[in-house]
Amino acid sequence: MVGQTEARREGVAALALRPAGGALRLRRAWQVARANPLGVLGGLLIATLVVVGLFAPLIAPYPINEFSGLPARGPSAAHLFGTDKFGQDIFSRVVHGARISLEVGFLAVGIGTVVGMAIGILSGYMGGVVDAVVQRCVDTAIAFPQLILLLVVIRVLGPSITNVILVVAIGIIPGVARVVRGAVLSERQNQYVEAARATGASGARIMLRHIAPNVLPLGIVIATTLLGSAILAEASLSFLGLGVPPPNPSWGADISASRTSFPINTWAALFPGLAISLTVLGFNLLGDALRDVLDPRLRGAR
Amino acid sequence: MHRYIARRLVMAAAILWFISIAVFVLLRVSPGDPALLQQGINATPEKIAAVHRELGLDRPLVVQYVRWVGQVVRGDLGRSVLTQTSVTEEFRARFPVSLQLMLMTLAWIVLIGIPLGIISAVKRNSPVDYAVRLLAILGLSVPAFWVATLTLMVPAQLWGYAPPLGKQIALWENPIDNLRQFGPASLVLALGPIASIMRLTRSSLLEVLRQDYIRTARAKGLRGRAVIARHALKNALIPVVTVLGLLSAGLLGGAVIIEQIFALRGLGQYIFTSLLQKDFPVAQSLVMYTAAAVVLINLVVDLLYAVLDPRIRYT
Amino acid sequence: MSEICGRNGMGRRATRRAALRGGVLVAAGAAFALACGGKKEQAATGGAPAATARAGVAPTTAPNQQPKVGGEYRVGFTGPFAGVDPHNSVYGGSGIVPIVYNYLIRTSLVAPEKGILQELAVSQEQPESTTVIFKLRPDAMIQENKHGVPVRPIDAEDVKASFERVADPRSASNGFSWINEWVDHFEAVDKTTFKIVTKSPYAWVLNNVGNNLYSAIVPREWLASPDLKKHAIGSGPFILQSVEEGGQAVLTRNPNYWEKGKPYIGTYIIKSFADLATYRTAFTTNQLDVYSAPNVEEAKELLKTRKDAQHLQDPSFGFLSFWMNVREKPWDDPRIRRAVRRAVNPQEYIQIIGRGDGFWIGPITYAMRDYALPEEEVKRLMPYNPQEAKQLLQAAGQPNLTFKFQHPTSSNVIDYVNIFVRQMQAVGITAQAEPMDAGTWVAQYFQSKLTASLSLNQEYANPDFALHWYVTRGITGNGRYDTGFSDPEVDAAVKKAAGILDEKERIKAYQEAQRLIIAKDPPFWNFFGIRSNVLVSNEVINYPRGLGSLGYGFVKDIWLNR
Repeated sequence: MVGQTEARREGVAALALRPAGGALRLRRAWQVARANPLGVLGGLLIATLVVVGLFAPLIAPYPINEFSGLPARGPSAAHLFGTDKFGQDIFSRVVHGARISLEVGFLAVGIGTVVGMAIGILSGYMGGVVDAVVQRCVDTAIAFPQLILLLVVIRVLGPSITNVILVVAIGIIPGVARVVRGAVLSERQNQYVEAARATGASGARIMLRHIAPNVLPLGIVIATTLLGSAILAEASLSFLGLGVPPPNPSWGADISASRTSFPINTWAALFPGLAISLTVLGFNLLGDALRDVLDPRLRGAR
Repeated sequence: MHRYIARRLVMAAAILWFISIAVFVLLRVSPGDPALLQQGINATPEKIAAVHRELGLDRPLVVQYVRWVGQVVRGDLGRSVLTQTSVTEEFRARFPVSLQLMLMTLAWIVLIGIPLGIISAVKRNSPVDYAVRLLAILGLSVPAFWVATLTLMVPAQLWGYAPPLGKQIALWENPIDNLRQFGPASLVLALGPIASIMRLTRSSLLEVLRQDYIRTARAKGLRGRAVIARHALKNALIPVVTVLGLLSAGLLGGAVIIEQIFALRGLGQYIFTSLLQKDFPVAQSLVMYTAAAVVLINLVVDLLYAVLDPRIRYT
Repeated sequence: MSEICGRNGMGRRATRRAALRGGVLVAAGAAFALACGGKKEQAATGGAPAATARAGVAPTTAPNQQPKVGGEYRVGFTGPFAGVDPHNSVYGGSGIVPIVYNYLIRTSLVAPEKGILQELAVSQEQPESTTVIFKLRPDAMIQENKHGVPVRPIDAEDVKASFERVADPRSASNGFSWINEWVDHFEAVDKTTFKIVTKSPYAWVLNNVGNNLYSAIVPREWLASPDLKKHAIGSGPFILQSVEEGGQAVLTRNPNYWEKGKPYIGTYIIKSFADLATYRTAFTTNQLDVYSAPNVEEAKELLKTRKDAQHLQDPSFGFLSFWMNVREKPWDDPRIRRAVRRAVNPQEYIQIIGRGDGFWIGPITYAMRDYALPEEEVKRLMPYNPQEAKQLLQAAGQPNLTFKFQHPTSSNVIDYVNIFVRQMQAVGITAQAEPMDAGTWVAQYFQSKLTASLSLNQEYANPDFALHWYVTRGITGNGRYDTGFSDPEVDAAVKKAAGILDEKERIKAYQEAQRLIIAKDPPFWNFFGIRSNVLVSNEVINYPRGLGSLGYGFVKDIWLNR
C-alpha cells in the first residue's frame, strides 16, 4: 500500500520535474552525447549494423550462396570486397552475416541476461539456503572452462543456429547471475524494501516491482557489454566448425573457410574479421558509455 | 580466518564433485561411440564389444563413475582410446608447453596492462588516457583467432618468415627458437586480457584515489607520486590480482585456438580433440584437471584476497 | 638397384604369369626411369631421357650424380597419427607403417606400367589358377630394437602370421574383406616359401598383397606385443624412433637394410598439424620439404612464395561421394535417386573446388586407368539434366522434395555441401544439411544410421573394392556402411569380374558391371575425380610421384641434395 503510494508519488514528482517539451529533452540528449563521444561512436556503429542486418536482402547486391564471380578475386566494381573461394560475393556474405551475428547475439544475450537476472534476483533476495545452493551452482558453472562447456553442450545438441544461441546463452547466465545477485544484496538493504515488506507486500511483488527495476540499468549495461562477447563466442565456435552450419554466412565460419585458401584469399579473411571487430567495438563503446551514464556510482571514476 | 579457509576448502571439494558428475554424464550421453572411432571402417561387433569391456562401457553408469573416480584418485588417468598412449604421459609432455604459454601471457599482461592502466589513471582524461582506453577497447574487440591468423601468415607471405612449427623447442635447448615460438602466440593470447587489466587497473586506481585516506595523505603534504606509490597502488592492485588469478585459470585450461594455429602441442588442443573424438578417458581426465586448476586458483586468489584485505576475513 | 628395373618389369614372364600382376600392364616407358634413380636408363622403349623429368624423377635430377646419404627429410599432414597398427590404422599410420615395415611386393593400379616392386618376395608364380607361391629373400633382417624382438631374418612364418592377423575379424582391418571372401588358406611351406590358396580364381591377389594399408609383414613376436599399436618394428628402410601425437614422428635410416646402400635419407620427420593453414605456412617458410595442396591454383600461388620447389600433378584415388540409405524414404524410389543425380552438375565442383582440374567419374575412378569408364561415357550415362530431374520428381509425386543429409565438419566437405545444397535448390529440392563432428558421423555411418551422407571416401586400391559399395551387405561384406541396396544381377557381375584372370576380359567385365550399376540408379556416386597437387622442394631427388601408395616403396630411393 505504502509502496504503491510511494511509487506514485515518485512518478508524480518525476513528471513535475520532467522538462516540458521535446526541445529541452533534445538538449539534454545532446549534452549527454557530447560528454560521451566514444559512446556515440559505438551507438552509430551498432545502428549501422542493425540497419544493415535488417535490410540485408536489399543492401546485398547478390543473394547468398550464389556463385556470382570467379573464385578468390580481389575487390572490384562488381564485387566490393572481392569474392571468396567459391566465387561468392564477400560483401553480400558480410552483410547477411550481420543478420546472423545480430540474431545470435541479441537472442543469446537476451535469454541469458533475463534468465541470469531472474536467478540473481531470486538468489540475492531470498538468501539463506536457496542463495547458498544457487551460488554453489553458479560457482561451479563459472569454474567450468567456458570453451569446453560450449564444446560439450554443442556435441550433445548438435550444431545449428538455435543450439548456438542456447549454448552462448548458457555461458552467459552464471556471470550475470553473480553480478546481479551482488547488486540485489545491496539493494535489499534499502529503506523502501523494508517499508514494502512492512506493509505486507509479498516477496514476489517486491522482487518484481521494486528490486527488478532498480537492477535493470545494471542488467542493460551488462547485456550491452556481453553482446560483444556473445558475437565473439559465436565466431569462435563457427571458426572451430561447431557453430552455425554452412552454408549460412557466419563471419567466424567465413574466416575459417578462407584460411584454407590463404594466401590467395586475404580478402575473405580480412573483411569478416573487420566486421566482427567493428561490431564488438561498437558494443563495447556503447556499453562503456551506458555504464557511465546509468550508473552514477561509477561516474566519479570516469 | 581458519573457519574461512575451511569453508572455502569444503566448497571447492563440493564444486569439483559436481563438475565430475556433470562431465561424466554429458560425455556418456552425447551420441557417438569411442569404440567405433578407434576401430574405423572395419570394426566388428566382437571388437567393439571388446573395447566396451576394456573401457567398462558395458556396466551401469553409476558403476562406471565410481570406477573412474577410483582410478583418478589412484593417479591412473587411463589411455587414449584413439592413440593408446597413456594420458599421464601425454599430459607430462604437454603441460610444460601450456605452462610456458600461460606464464608468458601473464607476463605480457602484467608488463603491459598494468603500467598502461596506471598511466591512464594518473593522466586522467588527457589525450594519453583516451589513446590508451581506445587501445584497450580495440584489444577487447578483435577476435583472437583472426589476429593469430594474420600474425602467422602475413610475415610468411611477405617475408617468408614463420616461427618453428611442429615441434616444441625447450627453453634450455635453444632459447631464441623457443621465444620465437611462444612469443607471438602468448602476445596474441594476451591481447584481450591486457585490455581488461588495463581498464580494471585504471578504474580501480581512480576509485582508490578518490578515497578519503588519500586525501588525508595529500593533506599531510605527501607528494603526488609518493602518495600513489605507497598508498594507492597497493590497494588498487588487489582486485587486479584477483582478476589475474581468474584469468590464469582460464589460460591454463584453454588457449585451444591459439595452440591450434601456432602448432603448439599443449593441453588446450588435447582437450579439444579428445572431446571431438569422444576419447572418454582423455576428455574426462582433462576436463576434470582443468576444472580442478580453476577451482584451486580461485581458492588461492580468494585466500590471498582475504590476507590482503582484512575486511573480507570477517564476513 | 631396385628389383623392378632388373627383373620382371620387362614382360619376361608372359601369359599366365603376366596375368599374375593383378592386371598390371607391363608397358615400357619413361616411367621406368624413376625406379632406376636416374642413374642409367634401362632399355625402356619409348622413354627418352627428356621425358624423365615429367614422368617421375622429381625436380632437379642430376642423372649421374652419386646420391648423398644422410640429411633430414621433413613432411607434414593434417590429422592425428592415431596409432601405428600395421594393418588397421585409421589414417594409414600416416606414412609411418609403409616405411618401417616391408611388404611381399608393392603395386598400385594408378601406375600399372611400373609393374611390381619386389620387396620381401623375390619372385611369385601361379602354378594353378587358385594358388600363388611367393619365394622370400633370406636376408631381410628385423630392425634392432629395445622391445625384445629377435633380430633375425623375416621368414614365411612371419608372413603367415601377418596375413592371419588381417584375416581375424577382431583385428578390424580393411584387408579382412578380400581374405574373407576369396582366400581359402595361407601356408608357410618352408622358411622362404609362402603360399596363398584362393577358393576360386581371383584377379586381385597381388594387388591386395601389395597394398600398403593392410598387407605389412610384421615379425610374429611383435604381433603378439601389446605395444603393436604404439610402436613399429619391422624390416623396412626406416626405424621408428618416436611418435608424438599432435607433434611429430621421427624415423632414422636403417643401417642394416637388406638393400645395401639404401635408404639415403638420414632422418625422416613427419609433422602432424591440427590446422591446414599452419601446415601450409610451415611449407612456405622452408620447414617442410613437401606439401600437398588442395587444388591447382593454390599450388601455383604457393610457388610464388616458395620458389625453390616444383609442382607435381598426379592422379589420385580420393573423391567425395554421396551415399543414400535405400532402407529409408525417399531413397527407396529409384526415380528420386536418379533425380538427385541429374540435378548434380559435376562440372561446377570441378570448376570451383578443383579450380578447373578434375574428371567426371563413374563408380570406378579415372585413376584406375582402363577400368574406369571414359569421361564421355560417364557424361552420357549420368548427365547433368535439371529438366529431367524435375520431371522425375513430378513422376514420383515429390515436386518439392525435402530430405536431410549428414556430413562431417571438415573444411573440404563443407565446400561440397555448399554447392550441393544450391544445386538441389535449383530443381526445387530442399536439402537440409546436418553437420556432425567426424567422430559422431563415423559412428552413425558405420551402423548405417544416416539417411544420406556426403563425405570423403577412402582410397580404394582396386576395382573390386570400389564396386563393393553396390553389392549386397555392402563395402565390407558384413553390413557395415551398408546402403541396403541389393541386386543379384549386380552381385553376380561384380563377383564374376573379380574372377577373370585375363586382363582384357576383366576390363571389359568391369566396364559392363559399371554400366549395369548405373542403370540401376545406384545409391552411391562420386562427385568428381580429383588430382593431387604436390609441391616438392628442389633439393629432394627421386620423389616418387604418380605412384599412389606404391610410392612408399620408393622412399628408399629419395636423397637430399643439400
